[in-house]
Amino acid sequence: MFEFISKRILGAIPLLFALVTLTFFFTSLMPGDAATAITDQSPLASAEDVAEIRASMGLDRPFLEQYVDYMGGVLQGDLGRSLFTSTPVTELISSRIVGTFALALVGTMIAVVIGVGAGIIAGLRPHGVVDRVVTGLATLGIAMPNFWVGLLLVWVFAVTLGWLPAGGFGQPGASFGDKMITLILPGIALGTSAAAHVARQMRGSLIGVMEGDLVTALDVRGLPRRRVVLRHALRNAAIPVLTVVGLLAARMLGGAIVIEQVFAFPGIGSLAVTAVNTRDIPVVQGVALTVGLVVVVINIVTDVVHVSLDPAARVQLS
Amino acid sequence: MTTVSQPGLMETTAVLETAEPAAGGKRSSAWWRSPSMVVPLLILAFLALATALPGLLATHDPLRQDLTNALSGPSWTHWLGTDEAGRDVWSRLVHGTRVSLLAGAYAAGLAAFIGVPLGMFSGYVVGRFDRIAMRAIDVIMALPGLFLAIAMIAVFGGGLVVAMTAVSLVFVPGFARLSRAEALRLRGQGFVESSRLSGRPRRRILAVHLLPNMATVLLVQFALTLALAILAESGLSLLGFGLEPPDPSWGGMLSQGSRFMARQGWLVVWPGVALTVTVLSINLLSDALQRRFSRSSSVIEDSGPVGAVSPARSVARPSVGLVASDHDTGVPAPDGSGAALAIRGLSIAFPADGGRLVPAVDDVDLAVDQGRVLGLVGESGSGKTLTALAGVGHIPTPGVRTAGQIWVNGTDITSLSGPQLQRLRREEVGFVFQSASSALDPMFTVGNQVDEVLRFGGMSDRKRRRSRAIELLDEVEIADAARRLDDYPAQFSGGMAQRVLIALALANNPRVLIADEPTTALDVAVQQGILDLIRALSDDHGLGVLFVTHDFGVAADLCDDIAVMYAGQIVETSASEPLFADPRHPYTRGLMRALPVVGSNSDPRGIPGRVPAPGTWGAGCRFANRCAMAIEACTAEPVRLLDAGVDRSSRCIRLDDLEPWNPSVETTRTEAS
Amino acid sequence: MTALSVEDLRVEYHKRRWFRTVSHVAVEAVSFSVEPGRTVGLVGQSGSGKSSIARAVLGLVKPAAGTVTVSGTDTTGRVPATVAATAGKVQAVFQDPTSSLDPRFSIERSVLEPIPGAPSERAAELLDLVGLDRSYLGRRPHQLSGGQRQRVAIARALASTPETIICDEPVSALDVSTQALILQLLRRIQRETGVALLFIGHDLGVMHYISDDLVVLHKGRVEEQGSADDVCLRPRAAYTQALLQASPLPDPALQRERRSRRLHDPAAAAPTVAT
Repeated sequence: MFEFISKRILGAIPLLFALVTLTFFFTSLMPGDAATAITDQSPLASAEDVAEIRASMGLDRPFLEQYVDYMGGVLQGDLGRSLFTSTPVTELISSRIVGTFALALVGTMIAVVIGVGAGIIAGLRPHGVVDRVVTGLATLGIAMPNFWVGLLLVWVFAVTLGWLPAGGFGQPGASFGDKMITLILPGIALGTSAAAHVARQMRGSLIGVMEGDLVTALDVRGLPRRRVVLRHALRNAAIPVLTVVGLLAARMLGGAIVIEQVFAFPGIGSLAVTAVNTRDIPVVQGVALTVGLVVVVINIVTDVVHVSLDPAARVQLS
Repeated sequence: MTTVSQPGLMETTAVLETAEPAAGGKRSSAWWRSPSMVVPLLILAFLALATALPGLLATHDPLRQDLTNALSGPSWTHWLGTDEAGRDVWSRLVHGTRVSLLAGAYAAGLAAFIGVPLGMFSGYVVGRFDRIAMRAIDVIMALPGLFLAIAMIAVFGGGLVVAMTAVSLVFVPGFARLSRAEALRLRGQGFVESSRLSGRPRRRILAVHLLPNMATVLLVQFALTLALAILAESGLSLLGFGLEPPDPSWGGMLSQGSRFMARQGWLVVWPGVALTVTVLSINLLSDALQRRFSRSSSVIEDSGPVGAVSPARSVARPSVGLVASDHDTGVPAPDGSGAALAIRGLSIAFPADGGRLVPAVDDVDLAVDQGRVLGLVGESGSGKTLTALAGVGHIPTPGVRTAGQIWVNGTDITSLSGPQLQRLRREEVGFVFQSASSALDPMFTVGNQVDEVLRFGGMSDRKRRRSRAIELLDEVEIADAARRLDDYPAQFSGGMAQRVLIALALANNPRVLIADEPTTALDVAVQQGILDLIRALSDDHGLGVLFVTHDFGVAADLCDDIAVMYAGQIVETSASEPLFADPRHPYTRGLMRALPVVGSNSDPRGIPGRVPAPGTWGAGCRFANRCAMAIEACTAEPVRLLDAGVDRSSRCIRLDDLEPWNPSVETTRTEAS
Repeated sequence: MTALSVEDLRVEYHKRRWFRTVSHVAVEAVSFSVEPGRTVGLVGQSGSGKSSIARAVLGLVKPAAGTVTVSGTDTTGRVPATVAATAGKVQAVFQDPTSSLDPRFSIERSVLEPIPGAPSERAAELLDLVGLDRSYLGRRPHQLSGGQRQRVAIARALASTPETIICDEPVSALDVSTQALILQLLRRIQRETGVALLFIGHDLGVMHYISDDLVVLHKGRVEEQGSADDVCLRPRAAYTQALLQASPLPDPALQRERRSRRLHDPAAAAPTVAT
């Protein structure tokens, strides 16, 4: 097992390396560069000003030198500074990432509880009434954009009814409780959307197992139905669902950009949007790397959990 | 359906198999008329119209402002109300369709254009190209969808085209992985290898063999991607990265509407509805397509001894209930002969197109005595597996038992309740499946599973269960039993796993063992070990064994009595030695003659023609069309099982006309060396 | 001229674990030759390497050592069809009837694939050769039974009038009654066309019938080789003897005798072949 984990981690390093490189080269493709991005903001800047800024930022050095510099910085945990606020990028990210994590956690929990639960209930009696309702809702849920669900929730619960706050992650200095409350609506928006996917997967997986050879064999072995379902079928059906949950969690962590916008949520997503709008390159790079790292870590964790739960996968490794 | 089959022609191999009517099969041609297809199609047609000719459907100019009428709700003139600049919402929605659909199609199409060739090539050539390509894909996948898109927008600037090109990049991995997986699957298929061996150029193989055979899968993927791309576009527009205002787009409308939610909440409703309806239609359509495609590819029937109609596609439930009540003719009370397993008049049928029931097992009688092994011999399509499963009370759905009864140790299992049947399965009859890997739960250790069966079998003491488990594994000759109890099924080889299955079947000391071709997939020597084991178990414990096989050699080795099945019926029964000495049914003889035997002094001779499929059985003898001895009387009316000697029967009206049997096996000579 | 000969063949498979590569030897020191009009059988259980030999001969896998000579030309490591001198000289028939034909091709198209540009009449002739009615030309594979599909596969293999056909377990997935028909078909075709056959299988009865010469394989090595009669009726290698003993024959008395020998005198009975 340890070998497996280390192998996965080691395998991820080239990936991360490629990510850093790609991010660096990508931003170098931008027309103009950081210097012009700054001077674009002030119409009076002259060509000398641009050159001066460029030199002060070290942007006139050879390309490869800049790259090595950047890579070195990354390895030491230094992602540069924002072009406009001069705050270290790492500081910006760390202040925001807590919120995104919290949101993703809420969303994932809702997705798993509702999705797995509904999927199981539907899968146990295929084509029954409950199944049709669940399948219908899930199909609808997959079609509804999660940010739209968010907007509707805001409209109903925040604007019209005023029960819950419309956004923010609490004001500076707000209490923990206040912060939690602001997570509710966006969490529901994220979570219910993901729950639809999970429910469909769980249902499909469970039906597949129930109609498969194993359940027949166990039934013929004389085991009581309840036992076959609860102990054997569910376990086997859960494995593929795990992969889906991992995927969704990763997406929530890095991709809930629109939701964050809708709820004015100060997370990584909105940081990225702002940075893109202002062409704050170091921030864009930093966020890209962070998100990439998070996704890779989640993938590794998902794989490890999968292997630890599935003996067949473990045997295959050795 | 006739074959050119006359006495004499059976000798040659050049028997022409005459044309049989094209088996059109199970596809109903009106699949596209079902509601689950029609509604989405209509919606999509409507959307296509809105894309092509929005002017037709819109009621107003989408850009025309009317500030006096801003933020009004639905009315007769403005069906969905107006936005903050007084523009008609419905018209803007209609004009926005084009953006969503075209942008989505562009992104999905570009993703397919890049991803499919990449993945297909990668999966076909494997090796270094594949490794590098997949690494690149991994990097792209490390950045979640929208994030990658806006990162690229940061680099290349805004605007819808850039945005959607970025979005397509997000979907490339999906297509690449799918087409790679398909290519990997297809490259191992005989027709692709054959093409390679003929020297056909790779490009041609990819275009002609690979791509068409993955087309349906890719089509479904395209539909799903299209839906996701539309959602992505609206998300980007909402963020302000897509189409510039005041041009209408659904995402943009949501963005603007969100700012005025307090005064006119409906503004955030309509664009979302449009999005949802569009995506829903596409998803429903792709679901229907997927169902259609998977059905049409499974028309292939089984074609060999290993490929029998899988009985395992069943929802297990106490399934011996009688459905159609064409009642059987006054069957006597519990079988008094003391047989371990007795089956009388068993018929099992499956529903076919049009609701009628097609029989697969027809009026089967069997009896297995204590301490004896009965071999049920037949080829694929004979119904032997179904019969074996019925012995343990399992009828695979959607089959139904239309007649007959089954007794295990004198108990009529057709009248048992669910829990009673489960108890019988635990304690009185054991079943061994053909494939051990799918009959053992991969999630639990072998010891765990044995323990479970014992516990539910009534053994409450844990220590006793453990020692019994070790005893069982010892009995089936698994070395190092105690340690092996902690191993998972995946850690057992095929033969060992089969022994585990036998141990499980015997756990609670049943009197009957039913085995369905347990050795078919095993090497010859491993098979020998299993056969020896079963023989020993039967002798030592007095087990009555029903052993299903297609191999006469195996039957000769293991079985005391043999019943031969063909097209759902028993066609011959006999004790083993008399059967091999003198088979009394043309089919049995045909099978024996077809068997190549080392040391035989005659060539094996096949039986031309095919086993008739269920539903095509005529009234009379089902073997008649392939039989050298067939006469008119054979097909005139149903043939009963006739007496063929002491404790022998045969379903042939001409059994007395059979020539003396010349066993072509002269093996005793070879053993002397 | 010898149709096919294999000299000292060695095939290895590599698996990458971590940064090392683990090698597994599938075939070692195998040599045999097939003359026109004769059949050489490669018989072995699973893992014996017989399929690897077939793949090496066909150029689908590159041998680690040894040579493959097709119709006098060295084609080691290459697909014979890609070598000018041997184009069309070697064809193959594979085991699985469900995947041997492209489901989207008509039978006619499948059969003519090795000979692009050939007229339809040729396809009809080929179907005649394998005993299939011409009306099957327009059908699709899913409309045919397993046995019929194998016939089509054989017809396709004959299209380029090869000198050698490699048959990799062509009847293993078929019912016994159909199996015999296909075996007889192959024999007849060999008589009529003089094609050389390399036949791979695991059933000794089948192998004895179809082969003129037999090579017995076990774990990648040759245990015994010689004429089929010699190998099957007068086996000299212990492994061959054990294999024969373990293959049940349709003779209850004989099987009983074998069993009692196994049980009562296991040492004197054949050494075990179970892995």
